[in-house]
Amino acid sequence: MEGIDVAKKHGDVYAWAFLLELAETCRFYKVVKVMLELGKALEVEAKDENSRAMKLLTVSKYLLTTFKLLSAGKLDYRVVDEVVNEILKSFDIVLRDVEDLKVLKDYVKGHVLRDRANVLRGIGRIYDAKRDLNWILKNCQKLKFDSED
Amino acid sequence: MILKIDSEDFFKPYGGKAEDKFKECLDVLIASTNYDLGIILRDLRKFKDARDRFESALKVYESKHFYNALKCKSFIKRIGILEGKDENFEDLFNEMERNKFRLDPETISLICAEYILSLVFSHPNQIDETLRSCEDRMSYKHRVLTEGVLSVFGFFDRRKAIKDLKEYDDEIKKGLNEVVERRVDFVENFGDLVMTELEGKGDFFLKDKAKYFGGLDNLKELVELAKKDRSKVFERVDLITTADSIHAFVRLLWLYLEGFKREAKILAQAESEYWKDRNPCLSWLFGEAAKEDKFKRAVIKLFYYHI
Repeated sequence: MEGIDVAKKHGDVYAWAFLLELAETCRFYKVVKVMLELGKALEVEAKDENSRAMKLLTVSKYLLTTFKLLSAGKLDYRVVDEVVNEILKSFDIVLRDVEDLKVLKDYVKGHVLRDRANVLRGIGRIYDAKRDLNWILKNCQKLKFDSED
Repeated sequence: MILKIDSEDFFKPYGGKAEDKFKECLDVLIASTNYDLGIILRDLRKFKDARDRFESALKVYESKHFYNALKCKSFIKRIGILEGKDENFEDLFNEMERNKFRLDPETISLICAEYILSLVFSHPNQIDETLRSCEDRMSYKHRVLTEGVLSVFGFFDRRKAIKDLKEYDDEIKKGLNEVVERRVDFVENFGDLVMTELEGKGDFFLKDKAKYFGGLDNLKELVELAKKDRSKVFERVDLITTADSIHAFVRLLWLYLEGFKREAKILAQAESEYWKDRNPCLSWLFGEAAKEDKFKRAVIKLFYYHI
C-alpha cells in the first residue's frame, strides 16, 4: 500500500492511477475505503496546468470507479446513499476546479461530465445524465487542436 | 472552437504525435458519450434515437476498438428486439468465436447468452448443443437468466431452472431483510398518519414513498391490511422488495415457473410502478409482463434488456 501514502502526500497522478488500477482489478472493500478517503484530498495542489488537468481527469475516473464498486455490491447497502452523496459532492468540486483551468477546459470537463453521467444513470437520474452527455456533444465535438497559442 | 493548448505536453505522454493523439482521444470521448447516450435513450424508450447513437459510436470504434464495437453491435440488435423485431445474433456469435482471445469473459458470456436465446425462434433444435458448448463460458447471472427464460418456452429443465433462480433470489434477498422490516414498520405505524396528513396536500411525498409499495393504491390497500393481519403485509412487502431490476426479473421468472402467477403479476405491476418516473423502458416492460397474454414476449425483451 505504499502507493496510497504517496498519493496522500503528493496527490501524485500516477499514484492515483495505480490505485484506480488496483481497485478495478481487485474490487475489494479496503481499496474502496481508501479511495473514498483520497477523494477528500482533492485540494492537493498540482504543480502546473497540465498535471492539474490530468489530476482532475484521474479523480473523475476514481469517483466513477468507486461508484461501480459500490453498485457491484461491494459495500453494505446502508452506506450506499451516503457514499453516493459523497461521490456527487466530489464531482461538484472537480467541476468547479475545471472552470479554473486556463487550457483544456472543455476537454477535461467533457470527461468529468461523462463520468458523472454514468453515476447519475446508475442511481436512476437519467434526465440529469442525459443533460451532461448532451453538453459534451454540443461543446466537445467542435474542439480543435491548436499548438501555436 | 479552438482548444488552446499552450504546450503539447498534455498529449505527449500518450506517445506519437500530440495532435493525432488529441484527435484520437477526442474521438473516443465523443464515441463513448454517444454510447452512454444510446443507453439512456433506450431507457427513455426512444429506440430509433438510441440506435443512431450506437451507430455513431460504432463508426469510431470499428477501426481500432474491436471490443467496444462488438458491444455497440450487440446493443443495436437488442434494441431491435425491444422494438419487436426478429434479430439474428449468429453473426455476432461467430465474430466473438473468431476473436475470443481479444475479449473479456463478461462480453463472451453476453454474446453466448443472446445467441442461445435467439435460437428459440430460429433453430430450437440447436439450443441443447449450443448451451452445452457455451455453459463454461457463461457468467452465473447470464446462465441463470438464460435457463430461466428457456424454461418459460419449454426448452430447458424447469426444475433445474427453478432451483437456480431460487438460489439467486435467496442470495440477494439476504441483504434486504432489514429493508423489508423497515417498510412493513412504515405501513403499520405511519401509513395511516401519512395518508391522512399528506393526501391531497403533499401528493409528491406520498407518491414518492408509495413507489416502494407498488403505487398509491397498493399502499392504501396495505395500510388497511395492516389493521387486520400483519403477516399478510409482510408477505406482500417481501414479495415486491427487490435489490434492483435484474433481481426483480429473476424473481418474476421463478414465480412464473413455480406457477405463482398471481404473485408474478403483483411483482411485475409493482416494478412497473417503481420505474415509471425513473426508467420508462423498464416500467413498460414490467407492465407488459403483468399482462398474461403478453408475458412471454415481455420476458424475451426483459432478457435482452438485462443481459
